[in-house]
Amino acid sequence: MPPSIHARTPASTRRLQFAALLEGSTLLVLVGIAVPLKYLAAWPLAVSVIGPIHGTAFLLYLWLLSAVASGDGWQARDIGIALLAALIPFGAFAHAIAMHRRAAGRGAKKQTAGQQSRNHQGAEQTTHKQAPRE
Amino acid sequence: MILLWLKAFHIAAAITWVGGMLMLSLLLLALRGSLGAYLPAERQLIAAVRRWNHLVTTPAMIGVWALGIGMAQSAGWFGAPWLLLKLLLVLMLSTLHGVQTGLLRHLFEREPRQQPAALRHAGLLTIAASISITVLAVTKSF
Repeated sequence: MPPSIHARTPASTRRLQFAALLEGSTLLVLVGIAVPLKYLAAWPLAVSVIGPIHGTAFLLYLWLLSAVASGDGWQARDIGIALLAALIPFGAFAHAIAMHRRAAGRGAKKQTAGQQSRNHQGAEQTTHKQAPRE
Repeated sequence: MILLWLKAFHIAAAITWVGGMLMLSLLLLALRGSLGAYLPAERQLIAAVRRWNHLVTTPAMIGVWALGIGMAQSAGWFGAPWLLLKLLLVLMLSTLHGVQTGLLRHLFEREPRQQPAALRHAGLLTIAASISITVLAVTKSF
């Protein structure tokens, strides 16, 4: 049975996906709930609670992005897209999904390569087995 | 009173973080020339520094962020220009630490590779940023 996508994705990338979802969720809560409450209902407490949480989540995302990009040798374009995604509402979710798909694609490629290699080895073994008969 | 406690732990976490970053800078500088396979002693050293980074330096950095944000919030410093500049420097230091951590993982899990030229000055950059942050936080001059 092939391993799940979760098992194929490196731990560092999984952590970055989690940080992207956390950053995206806190940004949505801040922009969609806390800020309207502050300006429409004159209730600034929500912003003062969610603001620092979002700040920490953003820093965590930025730190993990720089660690994964440096460790895996990301292109400057990919880093730029990831940074931009963190600033737009729903951008972080789209980026987390894109990373998940990229990891799934890499896993499928590896699996195909492994299958081809096994098939090749099998064919070689058959040839070796048949050789003495000839 | 709570502000003083937050400040005390914030400074302690910052010292631990910067100390870990200087150690990382020194190790990466020392490994810079070697492009062949590492010796067993070098691998042991990389593993030990990586463990320290994972268990001590990175949690200290997260502590610096959380305590710093909490402190700025409780003292009402958000919006002050000196704090904005300090946050930019912290962002720069965090990114530098992330790059160093990723590179260390690469060196440990895969093979030696050419390091970015800018990382040669990582130690100097860390010290310069730390001095600037300290001056900004203590004087709060603008």
